[in-house]
Amino acid sequence: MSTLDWIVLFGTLISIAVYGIYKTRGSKNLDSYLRGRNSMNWWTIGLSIMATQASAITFLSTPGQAYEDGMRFIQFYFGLPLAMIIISVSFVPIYYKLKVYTAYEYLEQRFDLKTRTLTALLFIIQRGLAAGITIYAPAIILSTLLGWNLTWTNIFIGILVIVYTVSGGSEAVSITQKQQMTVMMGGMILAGIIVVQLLPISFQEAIHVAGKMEKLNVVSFEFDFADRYNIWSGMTAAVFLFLSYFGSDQSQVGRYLSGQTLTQSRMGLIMNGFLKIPMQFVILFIGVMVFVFYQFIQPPVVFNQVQTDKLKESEYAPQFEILESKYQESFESGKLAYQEMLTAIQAGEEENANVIKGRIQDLKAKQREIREEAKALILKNDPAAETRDTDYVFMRFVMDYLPKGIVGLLFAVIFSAAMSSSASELNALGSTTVIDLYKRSVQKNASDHHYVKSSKIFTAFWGLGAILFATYASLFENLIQAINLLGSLFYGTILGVFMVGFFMKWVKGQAVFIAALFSQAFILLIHFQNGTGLLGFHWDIGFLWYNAIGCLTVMLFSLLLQPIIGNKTAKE
Amino acid sequence: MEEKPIRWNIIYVALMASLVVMIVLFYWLTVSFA
Repeated sequence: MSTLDWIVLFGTLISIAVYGIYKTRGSKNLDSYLRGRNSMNWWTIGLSIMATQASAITFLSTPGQAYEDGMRFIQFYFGLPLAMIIISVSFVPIYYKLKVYTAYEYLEQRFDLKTRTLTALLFIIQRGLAAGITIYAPAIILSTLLGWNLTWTNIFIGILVIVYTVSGGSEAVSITQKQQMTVMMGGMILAGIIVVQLLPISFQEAIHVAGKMEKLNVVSFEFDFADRYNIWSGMTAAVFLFLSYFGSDQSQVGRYLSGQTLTQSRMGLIMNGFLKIPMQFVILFIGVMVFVFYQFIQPPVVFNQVQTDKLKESEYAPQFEILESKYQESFESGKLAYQEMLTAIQAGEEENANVIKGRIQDLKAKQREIREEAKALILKNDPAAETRDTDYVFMRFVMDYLPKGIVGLLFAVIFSAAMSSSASELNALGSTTVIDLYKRSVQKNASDHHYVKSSKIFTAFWGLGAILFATYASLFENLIQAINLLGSLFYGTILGVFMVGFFMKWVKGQAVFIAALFSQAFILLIHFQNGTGLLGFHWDIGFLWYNAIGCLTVMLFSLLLQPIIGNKTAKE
Repeated sequence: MEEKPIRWNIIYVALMASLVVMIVLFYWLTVSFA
């Protein structure tokens, strides 16, 4: 990267953090620290919600996913607008009426202390572990691309976030997210425009190439329980996921509870509903345009350059060279075939175009084989190497072809995304630990000043824990998968408890608590027997459906249990 | 701060309508260039 890029990257990141600290300096009470003095307008809330959800992986993996698999991933977000409406109608007014700091506080007022503590604990375990991954996942890719030390990359991201999140609380998180989201949107739109301009063919031709190569497969009406990328899963199962994420996960609830009024919070959510799908569309479309670009300008055999550089210096260098020249040959034939295909399309010879498409597909299969052989060589050379390179496609392209200054800006986009999601998580972990556990069950009657101080200490504690976890994460790869899964295993049950609270007013604490435990056991059973089944029943269900099943099981069992248990509420 | 009352139903309908429009456009993109 050039000096200009480094200036843009560090200038952007540090000035946003300093601005956040400066704007929120001064003493605070608990209300201003955890709810940002309720000073946020709707568009700050909207940007803050979007910035929380947009992680670094969104910008690293999504274009790579479109490059490999096309745009069908977008269907996953079709359930989001409906979820925003449901939350705006039923969840937010109740949180506002009860003036809660955290979503779990509501559960004690509606049910009992044990239900509140259980859900708060589930959230803390899940987010506390996931906070480390929010830093680690992008750090591993960024450190490779920039040639940095992984531990220092973790520390750089983590410390910067901790400094402004601890110092300014929720308000600093929202203010910095507004700037970060502006950087993210601006950077990606700019990248999109430049990619299209760099194309060696016209935009219209690029669309034809993308369409013929099945990259514009945006909507699919075929239903499959095991596949989440079709319109039906998006419109049903994903709604439950978004309801639990935006309605009962404190990292999101904390964002809109900082609104000036109920109306501002609702409008922030609705803004997210309007913008999320177009934003994902742009990111995926950029990935598709990068794909088209690389059909005419030769791509590297493997996108992770550190690994290929290592290979070139190893004993496998001659073998790799042979693969590279085979790849080039295949690429050149492909390029010619594309030109022929475009000529056929322009002449209206659809059949001919399809014949050429078949030829290109054969060449692509050949190229995939060569790539696999190269990856096998990488593994022979370094058995611990990561050979999945889709996450590197977009940033490799950025580093190789985008102008000076813009490269730095695009790196700032990725770092901003990592920092913005991390900040919401740390803020939510700090507030849930203090409000739902410490202030409620440990130190009940201390001063406001004491609770502000403990919120800062807990936020810093979770931040340092996340850095520590990220530093040692490479040692337990399997744990990372387990943590990602943890979210989908617990989310449905948590959402179910909230849904019973909002929509089944006659159900009391005892019934919902037992129903939640039952539902959790049921989800675990489904998960551990997935693909095989039990007692003659067979099932193979995508994990996206766990949310819907978990939520509906809690609701159904609460309905059945309430008449049996009666009104024995366990109010403490 | 006094806020003007907002006709939420209209906003909600508009949001769902925008989703339908997007899906129609996406479908067009999917089938016309395949």
